[in-house]
Amino acid sequence: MMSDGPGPDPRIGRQARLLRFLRVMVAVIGALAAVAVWAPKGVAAPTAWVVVALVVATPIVRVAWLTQRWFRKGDRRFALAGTALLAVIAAAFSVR
Amino acid sequence: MLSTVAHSPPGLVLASVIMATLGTLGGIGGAVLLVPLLVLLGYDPWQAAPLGMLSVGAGSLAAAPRQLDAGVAHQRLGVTLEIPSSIGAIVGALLSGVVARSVLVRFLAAVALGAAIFGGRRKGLRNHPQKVFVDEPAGEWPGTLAGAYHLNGEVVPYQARRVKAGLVAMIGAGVVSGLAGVGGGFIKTPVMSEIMHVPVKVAAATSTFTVGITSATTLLVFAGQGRIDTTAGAAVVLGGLFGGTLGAWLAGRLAPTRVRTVLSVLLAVVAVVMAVQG
Repeated sequence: MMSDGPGPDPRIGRQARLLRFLRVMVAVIGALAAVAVWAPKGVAAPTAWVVVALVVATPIVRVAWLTQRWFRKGDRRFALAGTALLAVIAAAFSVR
Repeated sequence: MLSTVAHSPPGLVLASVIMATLGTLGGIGGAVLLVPLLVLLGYDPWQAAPLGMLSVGAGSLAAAPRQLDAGVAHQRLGVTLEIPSSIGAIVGALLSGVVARSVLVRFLAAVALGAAIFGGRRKGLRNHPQKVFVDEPAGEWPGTLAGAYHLNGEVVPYQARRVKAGLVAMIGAGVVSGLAGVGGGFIKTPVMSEIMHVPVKVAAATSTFTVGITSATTLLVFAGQGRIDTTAGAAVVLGGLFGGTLGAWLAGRLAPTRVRTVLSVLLAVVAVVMAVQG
């Protein structure tokens, strides 16, 4: 009797949520940046501020997401590396 | 005339699109071209550096979904190497607030020259496909600094080596980023590839991931110093997103060696002009 063979590798699609988040952020930041460039000044100025904030926040959210995932999966060494990196980024927030 | 155009948001979008397209095509990132160009067009290096970092952040973001989907960016390696790099970036950003303009311009010229040399010297394949890994999905292997990626339908496994040397080199890459407002990918990619023996394709994608974090860290310092012009920044981000996507699309259609040669010559010219002006 023929076996169906092994199922799909469980690692495929494991970061689908992160991928979706990044795609949404690219679209949102692109759209807001276009508004900030071409809208009247009253709308453009606060929108530009949001664009800059999102460009800064997105990679930090990605590191935080990876860190919590590595903690949950028991990958402690890299979870600690992620925590250390988040601490360095937090330090950047407080220096002038 | 050119200076007036470069100071208007649409002019900045255009400059950013062109520089991000060229930078992505040549694998060196857009900021290393954009920041010297802005300085040559009359921007103070102190103002140009945050715009460069926003261009870096946008380019990293534009490439992120594609690279994550293809499994070529090694996120564990990126996070590990980014710790010293971000510390270096904070030091560089703090230093850039106190060093003289002429020193910054000369430093930028040296950075542009370094990128020109790197762009002209990039090498081909070191790791080769292994038939035994034929069913391995592309991506990193949990708990390790190893992984596999797909090349022409075959699987190439790899393992990062000399991690300590790589960590030390990343401090330097971070300082250059914070000081000059460039991504530092032209340092990080060869460090990962030549010192740590990570395949160039993985090194470039991991470097693109890490420069986004360096950019965020540096921008937090710049924000604290009140150096970010958000209106100009949004224009640079728009250009960076569009140019990064366009450059990645064109990269599959043009001969990479020829593009790198043209870029290297362009960067060398920019470096000489800046050194003379500085």
